[in-house]
Amino acid sequence: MGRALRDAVKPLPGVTFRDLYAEYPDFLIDVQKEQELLEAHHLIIFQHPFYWYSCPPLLKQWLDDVLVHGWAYGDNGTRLAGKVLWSVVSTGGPREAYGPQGYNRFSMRTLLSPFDQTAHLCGMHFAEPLVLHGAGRMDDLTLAVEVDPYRTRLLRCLDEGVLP
Amino acid sequence: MNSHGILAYTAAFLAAAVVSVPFAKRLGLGSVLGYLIAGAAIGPYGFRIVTDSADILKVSEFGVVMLLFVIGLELNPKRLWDMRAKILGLGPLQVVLSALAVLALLVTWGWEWRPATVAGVGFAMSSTAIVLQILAERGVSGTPAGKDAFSVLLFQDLAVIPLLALLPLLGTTVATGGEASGAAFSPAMKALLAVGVVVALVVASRTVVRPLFRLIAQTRMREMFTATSLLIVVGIALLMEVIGLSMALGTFLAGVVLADSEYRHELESNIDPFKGLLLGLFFTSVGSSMDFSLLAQKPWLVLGGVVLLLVAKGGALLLCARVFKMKREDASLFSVVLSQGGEFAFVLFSAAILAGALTRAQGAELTLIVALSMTTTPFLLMFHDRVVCRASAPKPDADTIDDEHSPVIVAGLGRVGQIAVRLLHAHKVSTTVIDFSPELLDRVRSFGFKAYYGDASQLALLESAGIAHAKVLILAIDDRQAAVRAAQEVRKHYPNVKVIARAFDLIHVYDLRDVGVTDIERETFDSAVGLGERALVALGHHPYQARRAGRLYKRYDLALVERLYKIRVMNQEYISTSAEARAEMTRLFENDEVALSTGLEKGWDG
Repeated sequence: MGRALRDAVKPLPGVTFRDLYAEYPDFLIDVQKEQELLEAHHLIIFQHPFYWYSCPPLLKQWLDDVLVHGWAYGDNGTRLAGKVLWSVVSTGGPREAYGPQGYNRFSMRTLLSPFDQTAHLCGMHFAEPLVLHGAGRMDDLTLAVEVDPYRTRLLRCLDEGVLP
Repeated sequence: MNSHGILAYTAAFLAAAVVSVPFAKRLGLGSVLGYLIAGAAIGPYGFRIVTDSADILKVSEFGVVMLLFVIGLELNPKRLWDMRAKILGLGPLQVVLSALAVLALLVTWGWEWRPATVAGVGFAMSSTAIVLQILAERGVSGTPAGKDAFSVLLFQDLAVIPLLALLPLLGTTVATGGEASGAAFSPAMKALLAVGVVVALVVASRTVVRPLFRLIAQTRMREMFTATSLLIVVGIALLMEVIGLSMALGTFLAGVVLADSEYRHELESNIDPFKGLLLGLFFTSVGSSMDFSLLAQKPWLVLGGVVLLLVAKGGALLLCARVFKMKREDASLFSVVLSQGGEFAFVLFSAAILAGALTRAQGAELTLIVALSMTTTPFLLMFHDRVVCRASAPKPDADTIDDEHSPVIVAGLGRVGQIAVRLLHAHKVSTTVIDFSPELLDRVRSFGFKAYYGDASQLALLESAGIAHAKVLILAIDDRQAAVRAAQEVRKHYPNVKVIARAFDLIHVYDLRDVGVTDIERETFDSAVGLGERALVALGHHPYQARRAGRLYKRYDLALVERLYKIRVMNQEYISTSAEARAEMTRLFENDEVALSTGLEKGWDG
């Protein structure tokens, strides 16, 4: 699923794709470089599987190291203000599992609130998350169908300058 | 003295020392008292083996000269500068107060003021040799009391020069030559000469001594290095003697000048045995020169004199300690340790006799008093330990000497040691580096590292590099057997020092484990795993998965090495030949297949 999502958006003009696990297999993040990249882009997409109701550990590390006080938030921390954060996540469980009746009890929108609040604290807009359910059980065709909205929404955003 | 006589003398001195010093140490009296007793035993009032020790005293005074050279080596100009307040404040205060106290008491006792002044100044001097020996033996050189005592000694050593020059002013007769060689120069001329000598020493150390050592180092002959070290000390002493300055002061300055050189530790460990022996000889000759007949004739005068010296000087020292606001236990140690008379008193008294400021009889009495006062220090110290230390806190912790000694010693500055040193340096961890290549040392010194020349597998060198105060020794020397030897020595004598060793291969790891080293890095291991990881990435595996596979392999391999080592120990088998090393490798390969595949599990993006 991760690979299909990557292939869908990586070639698009104006898109910089960062595979954090390939960049930092030692978890030693180059904070300055990441911050420069953030400043050079308007739309930031967190594309990841929804492991244990959150992001994989390296992205969490990235948040801790890169979005620091005085830069991303707090005193004079306005470098991300006005930018857009968009969560694109894939889950193992089916859509119906995420709701009051489902075994995960909470909606995806609720479970993603830490990212929403992160964006809020940094003065960013938190775009409507894109969630792809049942990632592990798709055949190639279904995958292509599922991934298409991602590409479409991103293209529209890039062409027309609107929120994804 | 014919050669037979010299041998007999030497044998007598050595035998007396060998018998009496260990005995004295066992009794807790310290080595100084042991030597003094040995001297008294072989002297004219003991077994009468040595009847005239004046010649020997002259030779053995060289021990003091070497001692000051070694002290100089420990003090670079910057540290000397940092101590200036103590040297020029505490030092003069002590000398003046002690001299005045003695003078006052002696005048009250009915002495004339001239000889009383000479006695006062003489008594004010402490014994550099005894004090430093005691400070080193107790390991308190770096403590506040030790540093203060040292500052005072240093000032005394400096003060002797003008005092000797001023002595004739106190004389009743015209000076009849004084020190024959020095008489050619007036005091002003001497001062000028002293400045000139210091400048010459600084210049010579850069332009002559260091290139000379480089040259000698390249011959890789240890005995040549020792000979050169001795030549430098003896040469400077001779120069000083010729122009009539203090030999001890000259070599001390030479030591300070050379303290910043990379050959410092090697110099120190070369001079040390000579210094120790000659100092022992010095104490022994002091012991044998004591005129016990005088003690028998005028016991009350002599013993009264000793008490006067100790009380007057001790009181003055306590007052100094008070003025400089020392802590209570520091003040008492400081006062006890410096309370005795010193070898400079002998020099001052004999010069005073020549100048006519003292009569011969007075000179003999004062000399005996000073000599006897030297024997009191070990006893006073025992008293100090019992009474004062009991009431106060235990020994100061090692942190107080951290500013003098690096916490890390890196032995071997090749391609492995260099990287470790740079990492430590980057994090402001002060390191002492030891290597055997002058070329390499020059190169790294130009980058501002502390680097010293020497054979790191010698325990003596590690000791002078401060292993006793180090927390960590990184062993990265190129000679695998030497590394094992060094590790073994350090583990044995300094078990608190963490030994971190570079190993060449598995066999070397086992050898190091055998001598008790547990922190071992195989020099090729990490880079070899890195090669494997890169190959996995080149084959299309995700970099993170490749890194995990590498790390997993490392963990597995280390556990396997540990297991094989235990088997090796149990079987008592000694793997040393290459054939056995190959067998070991086969065993490793057979074990690998189980663990390897698990590192490349499918990740979320697979």
